[in-house]
Amino acid sequence: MIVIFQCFGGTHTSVVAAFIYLGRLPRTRQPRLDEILALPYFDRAGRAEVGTLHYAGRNPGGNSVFILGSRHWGAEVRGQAAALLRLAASPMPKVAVIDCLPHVTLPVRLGGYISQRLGLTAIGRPLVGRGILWNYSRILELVELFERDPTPNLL
Amino acid sequence: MIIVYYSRNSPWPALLASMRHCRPALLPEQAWREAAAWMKANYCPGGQSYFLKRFGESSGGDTIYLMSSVVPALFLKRTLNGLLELTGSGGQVLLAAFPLYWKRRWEYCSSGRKRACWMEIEALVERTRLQVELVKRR
Repeated sequence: MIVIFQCFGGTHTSVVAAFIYLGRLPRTRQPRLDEILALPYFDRAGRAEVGTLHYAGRNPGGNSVFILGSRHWGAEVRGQAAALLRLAASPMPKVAVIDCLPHVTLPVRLGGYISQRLGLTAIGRPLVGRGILWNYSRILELVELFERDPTPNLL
Repeated sequence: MIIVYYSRNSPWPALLASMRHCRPALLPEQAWREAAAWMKANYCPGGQSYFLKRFGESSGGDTIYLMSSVVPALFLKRTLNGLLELTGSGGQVLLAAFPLYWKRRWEYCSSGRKRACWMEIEALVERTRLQVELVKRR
């Protein structure tokens, strides 16, 4: 199965969710800020890379995990991707898209804007990291919900 | 092979490209008339967040679809082509998208404007044909 974590820019919340899923972030405790900031792709993808599928790794179950930024067109992209895959492939390949956009909080948005748009990474990046930590339990919940039942996320 | 012509915000450009692809001898004025009739018969805005419809078949045996939504073309192309490649369907579907954003009232273009648009459409169709040829040769 191909698993895609999708959010606005594909560089903060979806990255954290993907690495929780891959077992690179702890589930029994809150990670440290430096653990978040050291994640690959974290606060790295610029505007030009929105829409690109970034490979994050493979989980023990053999699922390939990707990160995707879709601005606020996530639903449209999911719909069109499902339609095209239905046209192209028979049987339909298993692709799951997890929408992380509802878990993008105000500090993450603000920090992301400061870091990515204004280029002030020294201020923006720690703010994003803290925003993620404040919301970590909800992101973890999203990942665990998907692990328990991936059906609603399948294209 | 399946060719999907995509245009943002309005299916008109994708429809004109599909018509041009299936009928290379089509003239702009005639294309606009037929496109208006096709839209009347097939397109009703609202409901789904995107529009996808089979248009027909080309002389080369390719199936032509047209698709439209609010998503910018290059952005969508990047995601969908990536996904098609990952699932191994890259050689079966070709997404041909208009790179430029056209904000026009398509039904009521002047004839000069139609000619200008038609040149862009011809260019996209020509490029798509070349891509299809390359894919098939591979």
